[in-house]
Amino acid sequence: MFNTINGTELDQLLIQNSEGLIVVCFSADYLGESRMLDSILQEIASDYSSVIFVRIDGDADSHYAAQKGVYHLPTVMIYNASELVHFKQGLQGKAALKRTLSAIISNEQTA
Amino acid sequence: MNKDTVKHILMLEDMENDVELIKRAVKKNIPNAIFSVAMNKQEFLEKIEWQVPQIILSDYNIPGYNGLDAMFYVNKHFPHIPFIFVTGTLQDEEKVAQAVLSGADGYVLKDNLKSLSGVIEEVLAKSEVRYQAAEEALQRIRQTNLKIQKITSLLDNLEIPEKEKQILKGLIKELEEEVKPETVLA
Repeated sequence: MFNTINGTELDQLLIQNSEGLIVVCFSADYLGESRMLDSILQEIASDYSSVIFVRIDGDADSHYAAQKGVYHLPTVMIYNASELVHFKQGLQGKAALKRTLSAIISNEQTA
Repeated sequence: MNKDTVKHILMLEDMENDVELIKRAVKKNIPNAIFSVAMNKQEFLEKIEWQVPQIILSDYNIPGYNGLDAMFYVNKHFPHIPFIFVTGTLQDEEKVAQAVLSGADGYVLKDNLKSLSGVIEEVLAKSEVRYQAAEEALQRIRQTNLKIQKITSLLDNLEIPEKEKQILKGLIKELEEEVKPETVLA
């Protein structure tokens, strides 16, 4: 699942899932890079059933995006157990994203 | 403190056990805290740019770095962000005085972490006005950057003469220089 939510919903998600792994993509339909990244995340989401994947429309919700430190789209943030562990602007490939996620999950398991 | 708003806290701490103890101490009274953790200078300088934190908690001794240097960096580049030392090495009164006089907003000893969330709430309340004003300015700059990105993207798809397109791109470049987020507080 890779649903579009708004900023208030993301804040609630971060508070309610304080022990989980959450991938957030700030995206915009008018950008080719964003559309590509959205479809990559949509694919990856099915490989990681325990991870929550969400998309924020950084164009419609630009005030919230700016509050979160976003000034370029797309931007991916990953939260793990109430910690922001990844923040990257621009298009990222499927392999790179999977490597990042696997590294976070394996660190968590060895901790 | 609004319990529904996420509070972003940046921690400079090289000891994993201490990171967990500090997180636990903070979350007792501030359950909506989200952390970024930097274990060295490079991570600190990188993560402070990710998402400007509402407060910084820093150890005093970091291998290859120093809490005071981190504080001077914050005071210079992000003067609106409050800075608290959370350390085991400030027993020396002279060091405490030096830290506070040099610009720290507070300090907590690691063997007294139960007082940490209270100190954070107190410091956040004191610094709210200066934080809000600067953060709102930063947010406007980030939103302007998002608008510039949108204009650039739409311009690429516009069918107008190349000469006019280049003039518009030149103007956009000038605007980008004026609204670089890292220069707005400098």
